[in-house]
Amino acid sequence: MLSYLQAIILGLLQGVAELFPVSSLGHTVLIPAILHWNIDRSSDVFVSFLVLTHLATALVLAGVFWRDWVKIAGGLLRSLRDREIRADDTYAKLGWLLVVSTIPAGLLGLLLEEQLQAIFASASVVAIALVLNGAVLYAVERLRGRETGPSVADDGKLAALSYPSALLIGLAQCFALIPGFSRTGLTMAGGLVRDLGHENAGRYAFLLATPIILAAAVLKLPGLFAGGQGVGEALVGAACAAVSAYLSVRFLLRYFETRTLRPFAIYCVVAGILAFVLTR
Amino acid sequence: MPRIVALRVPRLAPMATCDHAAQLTDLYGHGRAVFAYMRVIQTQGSILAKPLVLVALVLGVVLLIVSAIYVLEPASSLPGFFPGYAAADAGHHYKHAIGALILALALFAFAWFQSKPRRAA
Repeated sequence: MLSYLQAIILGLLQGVAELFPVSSLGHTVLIPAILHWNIDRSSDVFVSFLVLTHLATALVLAGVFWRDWVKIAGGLLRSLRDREIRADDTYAKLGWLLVVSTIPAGLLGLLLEEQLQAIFASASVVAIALVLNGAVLYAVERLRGRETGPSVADDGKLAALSYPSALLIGLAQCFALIPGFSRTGLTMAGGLVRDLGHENAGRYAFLLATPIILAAAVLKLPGLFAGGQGVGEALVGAACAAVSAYLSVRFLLRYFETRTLRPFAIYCVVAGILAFVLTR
Repeated sequence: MPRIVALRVPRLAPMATCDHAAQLTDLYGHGRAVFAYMRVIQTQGSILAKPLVLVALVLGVVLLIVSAIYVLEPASSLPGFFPGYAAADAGHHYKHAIGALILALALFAFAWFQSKPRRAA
């Protein structure tokens, strides 16, 4: 069973960790293990909780970026009508870039998500993955070198990405199916490698996360509350996740205007090592 | 002898080969060789473009059928080479169906963009 207190803590954690580049899946495995909470991750109650908290996070993301999504949807429809993705149509190009980036993780998630999460369910393995996530983020920042100035949100720069670059970011996102690797972190890393600034890489990561998280949650909706238990806990957790996700995305958009992934990289390495020691 | 149709081609491609031009001049004479050559260039262009569109369309249709099979047939009745086949599983692999559908739609979108007729300048 999941108590209300656990639902509140895990809900808040889910909203934050889903959007911060520190792996939400990893934290939902590690925190209960560290706190010795005896939560059955395969129980209907916990699955309902996860689905609703993810749904809440996705809806918050969709809400924060709703203007962008309206423009992107318009661009996609315009390009289909004209049978052409015009170079000067920023949102049509951005829409198709997001489609290209979404396909690899979408397909892999549909086919292998459950198997991957079963293989990497052990807290020790997740802790190691978290350390690796931190190492990847740090390596990308080192490769990139020092920022020359503040990063400015510019959809034109996002739309200037090439399709192979979008595919690369999508492939990077595939690793986030392994608990311990962060979707936001890896997609941002992919964007940074392709010369996006932190602000734009962050925006692309959030735009890319919305359909994937939403689709994953919606696909699991039919099995929700199968036993009729845990409705209240799941709803409270979802509300907490929504609040923390909203605050997180607002904070991160401002944060990445001037700062880098380094603090999160260090956090992941330290937290991963600590979790590895504590869960042995 | 093939019939030559006059085509509106904005300019001769710079990669025009002398071999083609010479052969066409032999066949059709000087006056009509230019038109014949234009046709060769345009045919070459469409030959390069069409197979990809055709492959995308065929693969898209195959994936649509695969998607339908995943929806309609339980895991135990799937062909043995399908991912997700399990002899003792009566469940349906809806996620596989969605995956195949997404790929099919992506291929159709590719074919849709690639098959747009190019307008002469």
